[in-house]
Amino acid sequence: MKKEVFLKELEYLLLDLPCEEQKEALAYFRDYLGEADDEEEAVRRLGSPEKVAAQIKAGLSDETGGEFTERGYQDGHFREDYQVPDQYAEMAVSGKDSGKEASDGNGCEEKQESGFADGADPEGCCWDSFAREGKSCREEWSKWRREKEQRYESRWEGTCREKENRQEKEAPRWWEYKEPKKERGSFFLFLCLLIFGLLAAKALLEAGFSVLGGILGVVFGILGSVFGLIFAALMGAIAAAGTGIGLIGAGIANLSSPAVGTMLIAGGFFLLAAAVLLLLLAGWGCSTAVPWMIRLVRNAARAVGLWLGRIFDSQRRMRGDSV
Amino acid sequence: MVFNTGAALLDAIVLSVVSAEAEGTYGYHITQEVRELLDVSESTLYPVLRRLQRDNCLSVYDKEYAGRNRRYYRITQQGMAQLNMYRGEWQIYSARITSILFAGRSSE
Repeated sequence: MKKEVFLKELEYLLLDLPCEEQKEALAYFRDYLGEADDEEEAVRRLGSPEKVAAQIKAGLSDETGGEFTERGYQDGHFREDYQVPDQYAEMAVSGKDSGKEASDGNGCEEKQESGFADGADPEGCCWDSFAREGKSCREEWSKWRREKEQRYESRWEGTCREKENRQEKEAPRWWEYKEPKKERGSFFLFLCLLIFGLLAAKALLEAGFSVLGGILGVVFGILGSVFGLIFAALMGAIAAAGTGIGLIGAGIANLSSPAVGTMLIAGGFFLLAAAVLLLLLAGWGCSTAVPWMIRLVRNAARAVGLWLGRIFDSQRRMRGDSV
Repeated sequence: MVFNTGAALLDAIVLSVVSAEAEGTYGYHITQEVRELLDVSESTLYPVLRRLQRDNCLSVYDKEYAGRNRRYYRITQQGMAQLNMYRGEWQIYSARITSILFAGRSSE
């Protein structure tokens, strides 16, 4: 049997399978036979198309019925009179080199060559199994199609090739392609959304400025308080130191009355200690708290600047888009 | 061969043959390699290759060779894991059978 005859028969026998499986299997066996030095010998070694089709179909089912026996790999699915479409089961003849029979006397080979070359459906073809039965390929094909159409009614969409041809015809050519019309409704919707978006952005911006003002007020309030506290501590330290020195002086002057003098001196030292504490507090404020506050304000200002920049950018972009 | 073996062995052999070539190999070559070991008909291997491909054990790619297409099969990571599993199982299985069939022969 010739390669093309084998592939054509196999294609027919796999028509029940999904298109992808048909294509994969046919491509594999076309490649496979293309590798062989002697195509007809390779076809003979593969076995009949019915057997190959049965193996492919069995491989797609979940059953794994095959096993190695003393006669090699065996699987009940692969008997040549098995798994072919029911109405043609009797046509599968096992163990014969059907290629020779097909060419006997009825001039089929010439018809096969011409029929297959243009890729037409069995128009003019003459498959071996049909030839052996003395049946017309065209009639058998018509019969098969009628049965399919009756069985699947409207769900039958034809063979893979017919489906592909139809899809190709239905798909618009590039010169026929037209831009789909834009609906006016969607334009108005876009306009409404744009206006609403701008208004919402404005309101949000205003609200944002109010919030920003509040935040700045709080920050500057805290900053002012800290400066105030440092200033107060400094002033307090000076006052306490002055008062303490004064009290110590008064205490020394009143040492004639030891109890009064001692109390005044002690009070003076206590105030001096308080002055030192206040001075330390003012010093910590100046060295630590004030720089920290300055850093805080600077970072906050930078963050606010970035935020405002982003808002203005997005607004500018929106205006640009709308123009 | 007088021993009957399940289809898992065929899967293991095909995976092993494919894994031998880093770039992968094509259907005709795989079939000839397998046929040197087992008496399988030439059409047996397509369903095996297709199933292994569907199970993501093999990936395929097409390459032009001598003016025509040649489909290459390459083992995937999942296929390699499956092959390693088969190798481990085969070692256990063959060791057990050997220990039974050849028990006591070394002492004779």
